[in-house]
Amino acid sequence: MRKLTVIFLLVLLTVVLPASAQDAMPLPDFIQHTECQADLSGQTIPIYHLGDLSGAYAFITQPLLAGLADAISYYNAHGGVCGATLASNEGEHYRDTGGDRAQTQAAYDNFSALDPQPNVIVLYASADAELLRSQLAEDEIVALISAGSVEGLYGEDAATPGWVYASNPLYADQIGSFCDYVAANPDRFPNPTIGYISWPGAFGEAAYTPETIAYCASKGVTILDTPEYFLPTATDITTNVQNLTDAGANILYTNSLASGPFMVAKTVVDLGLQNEVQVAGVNWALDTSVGLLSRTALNPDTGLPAVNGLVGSLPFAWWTERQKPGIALINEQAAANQRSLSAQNIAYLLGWGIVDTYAEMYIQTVNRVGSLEAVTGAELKATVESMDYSPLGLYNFNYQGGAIRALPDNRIAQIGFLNKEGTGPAASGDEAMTVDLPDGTKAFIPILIPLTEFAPAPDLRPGGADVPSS
Amino acid sequence: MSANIRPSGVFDVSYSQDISLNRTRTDKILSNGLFLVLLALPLLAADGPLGLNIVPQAWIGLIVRIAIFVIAVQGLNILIGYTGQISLGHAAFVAVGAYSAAILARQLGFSFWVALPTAALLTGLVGLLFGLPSLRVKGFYLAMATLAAQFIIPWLIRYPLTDLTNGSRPLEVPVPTLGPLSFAHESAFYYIVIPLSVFLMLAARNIMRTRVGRAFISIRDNDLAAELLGINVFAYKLQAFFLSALYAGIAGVLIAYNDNSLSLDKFTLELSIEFLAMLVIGGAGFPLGPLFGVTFVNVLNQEIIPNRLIPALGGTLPQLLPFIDRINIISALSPLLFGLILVIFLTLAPRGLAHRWEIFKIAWKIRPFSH
Repeated sequence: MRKLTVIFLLVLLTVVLPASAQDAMPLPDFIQHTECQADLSGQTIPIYHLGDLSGAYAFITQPLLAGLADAISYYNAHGGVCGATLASNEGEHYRDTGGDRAQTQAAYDNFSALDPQPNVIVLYASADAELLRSQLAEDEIVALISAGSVEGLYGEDAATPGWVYASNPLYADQIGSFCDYVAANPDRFPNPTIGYISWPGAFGEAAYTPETIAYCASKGVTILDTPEYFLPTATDITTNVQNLTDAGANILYTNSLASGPFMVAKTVVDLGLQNEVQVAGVNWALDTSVGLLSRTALNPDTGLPAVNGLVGSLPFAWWTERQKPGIALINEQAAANQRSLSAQNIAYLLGWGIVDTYAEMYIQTVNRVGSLEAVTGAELKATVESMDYSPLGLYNFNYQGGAIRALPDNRIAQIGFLNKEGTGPAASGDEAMTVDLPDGTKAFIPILIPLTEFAPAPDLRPGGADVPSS
Repeated sequence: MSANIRPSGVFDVSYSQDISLNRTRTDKILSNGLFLVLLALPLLAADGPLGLNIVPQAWIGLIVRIAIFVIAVQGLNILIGYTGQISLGHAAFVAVGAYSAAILARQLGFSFWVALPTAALLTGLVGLLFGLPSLRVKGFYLAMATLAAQFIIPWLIRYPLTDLTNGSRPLEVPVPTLGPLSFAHESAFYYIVIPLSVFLMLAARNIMRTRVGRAFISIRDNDLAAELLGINVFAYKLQAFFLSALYAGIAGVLIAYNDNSLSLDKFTLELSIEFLAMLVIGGAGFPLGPLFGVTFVNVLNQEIIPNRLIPALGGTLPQLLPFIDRINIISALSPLLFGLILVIFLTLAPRGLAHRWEIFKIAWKIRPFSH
């Protein structure tokens, strides 16, 4: 009997031990987290986030949920954060605000009243950052956001860094990068005149400022002083586009996303101005959603979607840069989780970046304070302002010194569509690879072609270092 | 209306009894008791001086937002519910109040207590201006005319007045103080908002019992007949616009000081439509309509759906609908549930929740002879 028991135990050990090891597979070598000095097994690190999941930003934000969910599963399957499990459950850890300020406030009130209070919150929209800026500081909660406005990150005086940290350059700085690019390419952009066309509101108007106008002018790029705004629900913006082109614009810059850049590009093509006017925009303008929305609005000259050639900011690594191990991993996981083409967008990438950043932030903080219970918002803020980390190689998370709240690195890229061979951009619709969609239409596969290397965007906050003195 | 119905065997024996808002002792005890309970809530919350944590802290913020919106929707009730004049520009009037107060405080150093009535009066005057078309047009045409406010006012705030308003950029608003007392915390600001909201609710109810209020109602019911009776229809319509905008202005001031930050994004056409929806759901023309409508919509949107229904359904629905992407289900839940519940309520109570409440009260008062 004793022999049998020993044999049984041995068999059990041989079965269970590999299984346990499999449960906690190590992370790949390229994910260089700081070594854990505490075992957090059995504990949970919640990822709280609130934002517009069902309103105008849904194109961007829904894939964020997918990215967060896949990344959380992946990290938990690979040992979590020093053994602690990452969690983000609907209703408990994240809330849809529908883009409504009152709901944003309600969601924040709900989170900030929790016991224990969250130490970090992920936000989606500039307007949310602006609304919650002072409350986050008062409650000592760190907020991570993709990109933000000057007021959301630095306050009305543009000189008071708050508790919100953006992983993309400020929208004002992004248009500055674009002006640098335009100025450096006089052959492509002779006599450059930008017409600013965007959505009204904190996000849409964030790049049209006296500082950006002055900076671009100093580079020889004129920004017209008659910006045009249209609602995200607008179905015809012909007049807006014509107003700008009649005023002399040969570049249309939009600080909008999804349907916004698409509407601008489509209108330019509808007016037959595609050879005279360059469409450009903020980093969101290069998103997959823009390329997919344009699948039926084709440029008659090329047979490619109207947004082909749209130029914008690309301050992070992109899906096609598979030589980067982080991007390769995200591609692999998106395929494994059967994520659709529309989900493979900016937000999905940023979801992975956020989770990896979370993990590193918590590891460093727990190593310093000794336990998960001792981690506070203030401690995490101290970590954020001391760490230099590149989450999955997507971007450089470096706010060292505490003076900046928006990462400055940026590059300019252009939308293209994959050719049939899958080797690069197609020159015409006939050469492009297409995918049959369930609705009977064909989707061209959007790709991004970097036009410049990473370089710091100019600092165009009011009083910023690169604002020309008047 | 139940105001005219006494419980069986109860009669008014004096003029003061006849005009009192609370017709019975029970009414008085209930309404005063409810007010006292409301005032006690912040004391029982985690951030209260007693640190009791009996009332969730998030409720305090929710009640403050409800109370502010009740004021705004009460203004709309005066205009639509009592006077029959449709307005689609109410959010713009709220914006006027909010920005006026912020500018008065920032540029002229007005304290909250001076900025509040000044901004409210200013908003009333702006409302008066946009009420002028009511002389010539009514119904849908008036709705379109008031819609102009929703475009003109934000445009004025965004462009010509940008030096004062910061245009589309956020505008910081100072914290209200009273001597050494600061109302920075929402639990403290609560004690400004709740009494003011209750006062304005009672004021609206009282206005309707005056000569002016009765003129409003006569215009709503039949403006031609009202005119033939000697009522100056245009003057009264303008008064209704003034009062409505005054209420909106007060709500705007409170929104500005509650958020300590102003942005034009808040005062969209969607908000105007939301105000209208709250009034319809609560019951237009009923004194308690705004309270019911605002409470219903806000509690549903900010408490029940996100904190109760979504956690409950978020786990089960994706399993029941495996052919739909889980992420799509989760992100669709909030608007879907909100729409569904609205349809159900409007089907069951098409005249608004306040009407249901009146029926219930009447049945209770005349018991046991309710049939």
